[in-house]
Order: sequence, then structure tokens, then C-alpha cells
Amino acid sequence: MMNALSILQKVIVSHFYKVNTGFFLFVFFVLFGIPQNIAQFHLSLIDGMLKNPSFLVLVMAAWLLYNFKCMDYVIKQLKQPQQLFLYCLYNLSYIRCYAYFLFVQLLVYMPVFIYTMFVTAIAFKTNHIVAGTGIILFNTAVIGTTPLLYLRVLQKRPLLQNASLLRALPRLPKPLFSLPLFYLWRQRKQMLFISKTLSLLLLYIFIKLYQPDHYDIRPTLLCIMLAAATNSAIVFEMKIFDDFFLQMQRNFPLYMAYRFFTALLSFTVLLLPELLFVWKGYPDYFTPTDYLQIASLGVGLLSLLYSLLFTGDMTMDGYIRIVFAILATLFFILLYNPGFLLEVFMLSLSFGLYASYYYAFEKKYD
Amino acid sequence: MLLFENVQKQYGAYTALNIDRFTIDDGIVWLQGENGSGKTTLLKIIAGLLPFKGDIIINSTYSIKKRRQQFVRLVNYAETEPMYPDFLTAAELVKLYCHAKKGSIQDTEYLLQQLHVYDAYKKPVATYSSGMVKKLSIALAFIGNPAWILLDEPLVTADVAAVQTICALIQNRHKQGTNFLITSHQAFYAGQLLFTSSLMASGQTIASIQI
Repeated sequence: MMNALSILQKVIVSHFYKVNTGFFLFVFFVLFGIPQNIAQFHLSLIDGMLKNPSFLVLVMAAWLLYNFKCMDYVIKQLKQPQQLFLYCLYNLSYIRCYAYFLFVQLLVYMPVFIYTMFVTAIAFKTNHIVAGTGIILFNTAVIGTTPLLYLRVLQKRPLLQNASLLRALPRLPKPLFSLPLFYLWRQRKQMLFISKTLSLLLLYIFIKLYQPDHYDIRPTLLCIMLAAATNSAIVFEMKIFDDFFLQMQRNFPLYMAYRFFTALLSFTVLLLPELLFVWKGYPDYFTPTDYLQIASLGVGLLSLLYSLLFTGDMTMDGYIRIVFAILATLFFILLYNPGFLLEVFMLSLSFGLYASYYYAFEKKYD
Repeated sequence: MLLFENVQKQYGAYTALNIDRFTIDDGIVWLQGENGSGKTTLLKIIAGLLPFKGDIIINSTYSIKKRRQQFVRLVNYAETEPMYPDFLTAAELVKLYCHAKKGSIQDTEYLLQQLHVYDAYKKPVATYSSGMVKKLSIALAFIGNPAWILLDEPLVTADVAAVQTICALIQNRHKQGTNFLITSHQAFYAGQLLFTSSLMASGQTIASIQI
């Protein structure tokens, strides 16, 4: 038994922490590096969770997102050809297999689990029994049910009971612009879900908390810029899809303007949830004319990021640095509110880069 | 006719191709060469999939550098190991290619019937065997009215019956005026495919050889 646990820890758990080192360092820095009085900061945070049920639900949603990240990783690992040998575990009893994957789940979920233990202890100490019990139930559900999904993968069974029903639905037409979106929907659900949750949460908090005393489009533009930027990793993923699966479209006799228009259409559909959600702020936050500026800023930013990916064979790290540099620049430009000039400039620059580098780009394979 | 002018292709510091000036005449052309001799690279640059230095001119009219749309309309390509988004069905790919290459869906469906992949026409490519994906890629390369069809190892993974069908399809299409540039490590039986000329890729360039 120890041998199997040790193998699972090596091939799944250790690798999980290795590939996510940057993520954990970032979260650790935000939660424990930035606050001057760490203990006071966390006690206030926990106090807020225990006294405000809405805040607790929001925090639980964040924990759940982390669990989705863990799930996505473990499931992908189990599907890797080099992990095929793990299927031999299924020869063991169901209970034992479950116990093994419960161990995996506990280890990958550990950072959240330890934090929730502190929160629960404080909850019971300060007589917030309902909140404390809620957290225990939440953890039990998350830790207890997730290994069942891993076992389904091990059994090569579909994760959704209604997957066959979904397949039976009529297939939607798939024009060129929709292919990266279908790919994201099918292969990068977790990334899509996290990005959309973050961007919509950002818009929701902005509309809820910011009450303008006079009309000013700039805060809304800044917020939509950040909401669009949460889709940066998705744009990177769309480029990878292009490089691997849509290479054949270079052999299609399509004009550059048509290709660029196709990409713009993809980004518009990708940003549709944000562009629809922002109407919650109408008419206090923007006028119909300014809405065009809002929409074109979002689409313009994504198209600029996409076009920049053609200028060189970038890694995700390098790309994220560029994203931050662009956001910082845009932040200062938006403070001066150059109106449509900015969007026109961004779209023109995107097209210029795209047209110049599209055929010159070549993916380098190591 | 394909005219190569100062074609150079480099992967980092490594020069894969260096062709000063060379012409490939119309016909069914067999491009031979060892592994790594630049055959696939050559096909990919003609198909417009890879950037390179120099120029290629088709039928003395269209340059790939100056009139790319017109050029690639006349060149179709099937890869050695084709990769398609696995959620797409053959029907969706055929529709996409026919839209881009101005081809006939019915003709392609008939081709797929001949290649015995039509039964899986409406199933996602993810469910296909490598041989079926290969046959699909060949059918897609026949879409439209290309002057040249580039086939990279078309017989790899093909079963015995499919080899005969593919050779017959190539021969028939050539009679209608389409030229073929084919790489293949497999030897052809006498009469199976009537090559009009043969090329050898080696030493970063290509040269004509006796069939």
C-alpha cells in the first residue's frame, strides 16, 4: 500500500506543486507578504467570513475554484499516456482505490485545507457555530466527492452522466472563427470557467461598490480593461490551438483582413459574457455611445495580445510580463481618456502586427 | 510548373534547404530522399505553411511572396501525420475546406466513399484510426481546383485496398490536369502510379534523377 501511495505522490502530487510553484508563491506573497501585520490581517479576514455569510460564500467559491484547478490537473495527469500504468490500480478493491485517491486529493488540496482548519477553529472559539459547521460540510463534500471523479477517469467512464445526452444534441455549425472557442469549451473548461468567474466578479464588485457622483467613463473603461485582461491566458491558449491544429488554414486562400476579422469575431464572442454583464451598470456608468468604446477596448486589447504572440515564439512567462506592461501603459493612457482614438490605435496596431508577422511566425519545437 | 528562386529555409542555425534556382515540371513527380533531407520542409514551404527566404512561382504567374492568395489557391497539401481538432467531424472539415478552397462537397463525399471512410463521415475525428485520418487528409487535399497537390507519404498507414484506390485517384486526377508532388519511402509496383519525373532531396537541395 505504501508503495502505491508513494508512486501516486511522486507522479501526481509532487509534480502538481512543482508546476504550480509560481502560483503558490504569488498567492503566498499576496496573503502573507503584502500585509504589514499578518496576524491582524488574517484575523480581520476570518472575522469578515464568519460574520458575513455572503463573504463566506464568496471565499468558498474561491476555494472551490482552487479545487477545480486540482481536479483538472489530476484528471489530465491520469489521462497522460505515461501514466497509463496507474490503471493497474483499478484491479484493487473500489474502497482501496478510493482511499488512494482520497490521499491524493488531501495532498493537493492541503493549502486550502490547512487554512480552513484555522478558520473553523476560530469559528467554534468565537461561537460562530453555523459558519464553522458550514466550512466542515463544505470541506467534507469537496474532499470526499472529488476522488470519485478520479475513479471515474480511472475507469475510463465519462465524467458527466449526461455526456451521451449532450452528444445527442444537434451539432452546432462550426465556422472558422468558432473553432478556437469550441476547443476552449471542450479542452480548457477549467481555464474558461476561472477566467470568466474572475472577470464577471470584477465587474460585479465594481458595479456594486463604485457609485459615481458624476458621469465619468474612465473607471468603467479601466474595469473592462482588467476584465478583458483576465482572458489573457485564454488568448495564449487560442494561439497554441492555432499552431497545433489550425496550421492548415495558412494554406487557405484567405485575405489577411479576413483572417484578422475572423480573430476579432472570436474575441468578441469570447468577451460576450462581460459585454452583456456590463449592461448592469447602464445608464449610470456609460451611455450607448460609450458602450461602443467599452466593447472595442476589450476586443482591441485581446486582439493586440493575440497579435503580439506572432512577433516571437513566447513562453507564458514572457507573455504575462508583456500583458502587465500593456496594462500599466493603458492605465495611464485611459486616465487621460483619449476616446475612440485609443481603440482605433490598438486595433490598427494589432492588424499591423498580425499582417506583418502572421506568415513569418514559426512555432519552434524543442 | 513550380519555379524556385533562391529558396532558403533555416531552422535556427541549421540550413534545411538551399535551392538557388530550380524548376519542377508539371506531371506526377516523385520526391525521394533520406529522412531529414528536407522533403517535408519543401512541401510545407510550397503549401505556405512555413516561412522561408526566396520565392516560389507557380505557372510563371503567381509568386507566393507577392500574390499568396492566388498561389495557395492553386496548391493543396496533405501532411504525413495530419492533425485536426478532434471535436470536428469529417463532414465539418469537408465543409470548412470546401468553403475555403471553393470545392464541391458532393465530390469530396464521393471521394470519401471510395476511400471507405464515409461511414464515419459524421463522427468526430477523435474516433478515427490513424489510417482513416490519413485518408481524410488525402480527400481534403483533392478539394477545389488546385494546379498542384502535394502529398507527403500518402501511403503510410494505408491498407492494401486503399493504396490501389489512392494511386487510381491520383492517376485520374492527373488526367484532368492536376499535378502531383509526392514523397514516399515506399516502392511502387510497375504501373501502380505512372510518375512523369523523379527528384532527389539531398545536401540541402533538390535535383532531377532518373525514375
